[in-house]
Amino acid sequence: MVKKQKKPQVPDRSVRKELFPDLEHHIHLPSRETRQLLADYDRAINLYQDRGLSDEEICKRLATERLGGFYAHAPVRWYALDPAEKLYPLGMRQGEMPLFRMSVYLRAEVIPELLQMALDFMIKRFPSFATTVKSGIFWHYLDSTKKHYTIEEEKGIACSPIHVASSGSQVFRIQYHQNRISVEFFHVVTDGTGGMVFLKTLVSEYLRLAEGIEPERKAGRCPMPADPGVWDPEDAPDERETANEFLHVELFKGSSGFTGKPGVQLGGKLSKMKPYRILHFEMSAAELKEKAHQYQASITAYMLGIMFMAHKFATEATDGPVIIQVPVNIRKFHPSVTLRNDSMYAMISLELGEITTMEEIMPKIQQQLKEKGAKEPMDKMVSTAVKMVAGLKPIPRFIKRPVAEKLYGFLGDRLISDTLSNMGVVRMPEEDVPFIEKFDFILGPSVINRAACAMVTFEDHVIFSVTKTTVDPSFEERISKLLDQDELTVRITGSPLYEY
Amino acid sequence: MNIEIIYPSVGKPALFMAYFRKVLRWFLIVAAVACPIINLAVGGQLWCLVADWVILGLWDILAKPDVIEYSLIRQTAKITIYVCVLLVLIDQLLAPGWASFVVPIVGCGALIVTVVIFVSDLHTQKQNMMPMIWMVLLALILSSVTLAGWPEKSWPMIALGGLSLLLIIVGSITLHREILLELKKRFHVK
Repeated sequence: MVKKQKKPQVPDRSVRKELFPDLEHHIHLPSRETRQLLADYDRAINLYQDRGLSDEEICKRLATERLGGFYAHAPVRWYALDPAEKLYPLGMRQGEMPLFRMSVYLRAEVIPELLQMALDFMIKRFPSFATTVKSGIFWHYLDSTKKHYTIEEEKGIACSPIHVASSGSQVFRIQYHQNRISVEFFHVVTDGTGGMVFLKTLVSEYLRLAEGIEPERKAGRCPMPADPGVWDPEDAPDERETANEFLHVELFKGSSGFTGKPGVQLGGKLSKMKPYRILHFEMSAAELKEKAHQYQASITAYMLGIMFMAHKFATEATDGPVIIQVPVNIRKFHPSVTLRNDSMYAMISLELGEITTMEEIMPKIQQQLKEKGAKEPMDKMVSTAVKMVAGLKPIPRFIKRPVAEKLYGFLGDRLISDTLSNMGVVRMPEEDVPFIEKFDFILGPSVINRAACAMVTFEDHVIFSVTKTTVDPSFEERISKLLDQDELTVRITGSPLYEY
Repeated sequence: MNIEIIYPSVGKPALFMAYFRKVLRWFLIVAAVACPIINLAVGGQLWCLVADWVILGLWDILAKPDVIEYSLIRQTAKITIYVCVLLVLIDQLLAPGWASFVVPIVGCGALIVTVVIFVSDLHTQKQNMMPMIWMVLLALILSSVTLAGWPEKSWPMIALGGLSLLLIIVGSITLHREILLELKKRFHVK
């Protein structure tokens, strides 16, 4: 027997009009978008009424003041891209896009109606995220877009390109699946740190709507993930939050960081579908920390060691360097509150012949991390990027584009073997913690590197994620074996194979 | 290695367009090389220039479409420019004598289409007006050049000039702030 589909509940508009008579004064969008925003309110009100919330509580949680002037004001802001961001749209090709994804796992199923409302309320706090990428004569830029930003149910491939071409398209994608809320960001708009601020604020706003929690927003504007505060969506955005911090770095003579020998690639044919699979290695933070300390190394260095060992096992090459790119947050050297891209890279490199045992390679990795991730090499790299961009300034975009396309894809990726981006410890306000299980962090697929790794820690959960672009499973199998050998308890989760 | 699946299963992705573009790209590359060779071998009129211009247009619009800012106004402007240049090439290389009459009609039509697109969704299209500004300026330049005697004056050319002038006047009165902001954004070198 065919099961009769449940008809979607028709929201009762009269209640909304009674509870929020001035709602429409906050919205000056095209009629379709206005209807969508009003429907968000209707659905949330219905849900609250079904849950038995009083009108007073509904009015408090969905107060129209929380919309601010975002939906009523014309879009006038725009943002020039900083040197790190300029290459991303310039080198982009159909089906390829630099992006990353951050997820939070709640202890209860996500309520889409309230997640949508949380986005409606908090987007005003992040004006540089409420933008669309546009083409200028010389460079691309971010143009603010006033629209109804939407969430969606997760149905497609994780980290697949975001459609940013059409008018008013979003530069981020918010998805939910069971108890998981994920945000995928086009790298042009922010880096991991900025993305985490956005996700933390979204989750906190969602928990306010779902559980009625008013967390103490004591940390104000600190963007570091380890700060337990979340940004208050009711605060006015500050210019410093969208500033190009690269301009404040002292320029050095000479160049650094962007050239070198190509890195040894993992074996295995590149998959047509990118990514081919997402994998998460879930571990206990305390256990992992203890194991890393046994090697007298940091957690990042230890995981790099595991990656080098696995890389050696999973490649056909017999010589050449394995180069792992480690993003470094330069906010720690130049304190800033910017949510824009503010990171550079340390290239940790070992010759294949040098990769022997964990005991032997760990001191070398630890030493390189210390030296290459220090302030001076980072400043030199920023300096090179700033000077390079300044030199290209007068050249029209249509001439720069074909060169950048090659640099971003084939040539750029060839210089490295893998990436490891460690977000570090993420903290949430005390009031929110009981509702959150864990976080994960995934890098988007690269053009020719077969794996891209990222990790994040929340409470005692460390999740090390691998984005694969080859069918060959030897890399992740060796990682699993090495972690087992080190007697770490690992739970492996992931996506199905994205094949066709 | 046991993997617990925590992501939703995904159906077959729609890859038709990706394959279509791949095949089209190879076809266009082969055609772009073959046309001049055949033309030179066979001799006669330079039709290969017309063919290669069409190939370039197909490449730009179908085989490798814009990954950023694929707006209706921008696509209309691009197609108009390709078509107008194509008409001029046909006129100059294959069958002369009519382009100065037909091109301004096409230009007028395209300008009207872009204005309709613009007005129909003003809120969104205000941020896509640059290609329209380019089109209006090109049309004005083309019709101004006509006053100097080439290409020859015709009523479509006068209509094109009149329409573009009208659009400039109306735009400067009603949208001068938006136009200035748009120019500032588009020409920034920061």
